[in-house]
Amino acid sequence: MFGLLSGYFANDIAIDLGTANTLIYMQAKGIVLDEPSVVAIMQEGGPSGKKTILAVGAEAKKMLGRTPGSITAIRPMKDGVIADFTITEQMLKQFIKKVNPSRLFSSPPRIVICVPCGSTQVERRAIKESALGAGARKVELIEEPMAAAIGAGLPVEEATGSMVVDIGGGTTEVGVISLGGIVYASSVRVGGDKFDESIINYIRRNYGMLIGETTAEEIKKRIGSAFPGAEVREMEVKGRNLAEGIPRSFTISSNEILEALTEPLNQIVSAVKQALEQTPPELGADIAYKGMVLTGGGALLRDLDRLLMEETGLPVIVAEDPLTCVVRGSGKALDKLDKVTAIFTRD
Amino acid sequence: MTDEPIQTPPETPATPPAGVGIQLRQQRESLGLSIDDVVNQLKLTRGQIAAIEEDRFSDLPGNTFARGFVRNYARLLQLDPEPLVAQLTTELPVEREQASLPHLTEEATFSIGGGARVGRPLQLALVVIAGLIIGAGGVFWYLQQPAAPELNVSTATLTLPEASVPVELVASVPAASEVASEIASVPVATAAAQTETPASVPASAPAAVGNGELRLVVEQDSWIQVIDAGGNKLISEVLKAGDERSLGGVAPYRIKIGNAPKTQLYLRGQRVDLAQYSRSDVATLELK
Repeated sequence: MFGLLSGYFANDIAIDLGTANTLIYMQAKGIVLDEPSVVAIMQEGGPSGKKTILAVGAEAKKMLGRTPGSITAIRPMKDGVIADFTITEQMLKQFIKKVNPSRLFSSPPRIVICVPCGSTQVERRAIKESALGAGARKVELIEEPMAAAIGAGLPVEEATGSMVVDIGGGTTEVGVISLGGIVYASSVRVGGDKFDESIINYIRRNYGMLIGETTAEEIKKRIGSAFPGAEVREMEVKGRNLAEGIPRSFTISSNEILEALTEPLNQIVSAVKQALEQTPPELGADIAYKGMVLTGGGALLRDLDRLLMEETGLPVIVAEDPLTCVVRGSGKALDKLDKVTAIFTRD
Repeated sequence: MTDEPIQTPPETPATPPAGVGIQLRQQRESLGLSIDDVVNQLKLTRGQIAAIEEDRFSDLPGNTFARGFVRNYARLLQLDPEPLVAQLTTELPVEREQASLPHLTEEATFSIGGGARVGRPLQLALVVIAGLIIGAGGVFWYLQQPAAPELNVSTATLTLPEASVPVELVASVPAASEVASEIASVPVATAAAQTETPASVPASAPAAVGNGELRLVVEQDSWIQVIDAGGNKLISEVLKAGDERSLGGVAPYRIKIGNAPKTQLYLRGQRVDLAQYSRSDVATLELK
C-alpha cells in the first residue's frame, strides 16, 4: 500500500533543457514531452503593455520567423545556456504543467536538469533558479556528457574509459568518463544551430539568396553530410534573391552543403582531438579499443561518424536514438537521486 | 582472434535467419572486401571484426558497442542495418550488471560541511496527515457528545437574572420548597421549553441550595481555580483523578479549569459544557 502511495506522490522528472529541443522524462512513464524550445509571446498595446505567452513548443516553432509585430517567437536558450531568464522560466513552467498536472496532495517534483559542462556558475545558477521558479521542490544538475553517456548505455560506472560526443543544438560536449565521474570534459559552442547558420551564410555568399533558419534546417536534414559520399543528392530550395528582392527557387547539392559545413565540423573535430590529447593514457587505450559514441541531434548528420573515424582513426558509433540520449540518461540518474554519487554536479 | 575460424563451413546460405556475423561475412565476401579493408574503414581491430563475423559478441566491449559496430559494418557493406541489429539484440549476451562502482552508503561517506538531507519527507508527511485526521475526528466526536447539556447551560445563564424568571411559573408555584421537589422530578433531558423551569427556579432560592452550588468531578489530574463574587478563592489547587468537590459562595463565579475535557462541572446539579469555553484544554468561564 505504501508503494502505491509513494507511486502517487513520486513525480520526479528529468529535463534536457536544450537549445533546440526540450525533453522531459518521468519516472515510470518514460519520455513524456519532446518539444522545440520556442516561446511565442504576444505584446499587448505598446512597448510597456502586458506580455502574454501565446504558445510554447511545436506550436510556437511554427511561428518562428513568421510573426507580425505584436507577436515574437523567441528561443530563450542560446548556446546551451539561458539567454532570457524570465521566458525560460515560463517555458519550463508550461512544459512541467503539461506533463505533471498538479493533483491533490501531490508534492512539487524533484527535477534533474542537465547543463553544458562548459557553462559558468552563473549560467548554472540561472538554470537552477528557473527550474525552482517553475515549481520544483529540489533541483539537481547533471553535466550533459554524463547524462548522454548514461543514456547511450555506456559502462560509466566501470573502471574503463568511455568517450562521448554530444552534438546538441547549441553546443558540442566532449566527455571522457570513468568510474561514474567525468575525467575530461570540454564544450564548444558549435552545434546544429551553427550548421544552419553556416548553410544560410554559404547560400547568401554563393547564390545571393536569403533563406530562413527553418529552411536551412530542412536542407541540413535532407541533404547535409559531413563526409564526401558516393552519391550526390540535390534539393530544390526557395529563398529571396538579394539582388532582385523577389522569392526564387534554386537547386543545391549535398557537396555544396558539405563545403558550407566544413568550418563548424572542423571545430568539432578539433575539440575531439583535443579531448583525446588530454585523456590519460590508460583511458585513451580503452577508448581506442571501444571507440567513441556520438549522441545528440548532430549525430544524425549523415556521415559525421565517418568524418570522425577518418580524422581520429578510432571507431565511432552513433548511439541508438541519439536525440533522446541525454534525457534518458538524466532519467536513469533520477533513480540515484537519493544515493551519494559523483554523477551530479555540485555548484 | 585470427581469420582462421572464419573457415568454418557456412551453413545453408539460403535461409535468411543465419547468424548476424555470417550474413555480414557473406556480404563482405560478395563485395570482394578483405578484412583489412574493413579494418581500414571502420578503425576496428582485426580481432573485433573476427568476433563480429563469428558471432562472438561477448568479446566486444559491451552490447552498446556491439550494436554500434554491427550497424557501422552493415552500412559499410550496403546492407540495411536495422534488421541485422534487431536480430543481433536477440543474440547478444545478457548485459552484465553495470554497477561495479561501490554504491556509497550514507554511513560510509563523510562530508565537509555537508548539506542537510531530507530523510523521508514522504513518510513524515503521511504520519502528520494521519495525526491530523485522527485529531480532527476526536475533536468532532467530542463536540458532538455534550450537545444536550450545552442547551441547558446557555438557557440557565440567560434566564437566571431575577427579572427574567417566567411570570407564569412564579404565579403558579407559590412555595420554593414545592419548586425544589419539582426539580427532582423533572428529567434533565426534557424538551427545551421545559428545561427553563429547573434552571430558573433554583435561582429564586439560592440560599436554600447553599454551599453545594458547584460540583467538580475530575477524571484526570486537573488544576482548578474558582473565585466567587467576593474575590474569595474557593479552590485553587490540582485535583487528582477521581476527586470530587462541592463548593459554593456568592455567584457569579470565575472559574479556570486546566484540563477541561477530563473535568465535569455541575452548577446547581446541571452539567456545564466546558468545551465552548475551552481553548487548548484550558477552560475559563464565569457562571452566575
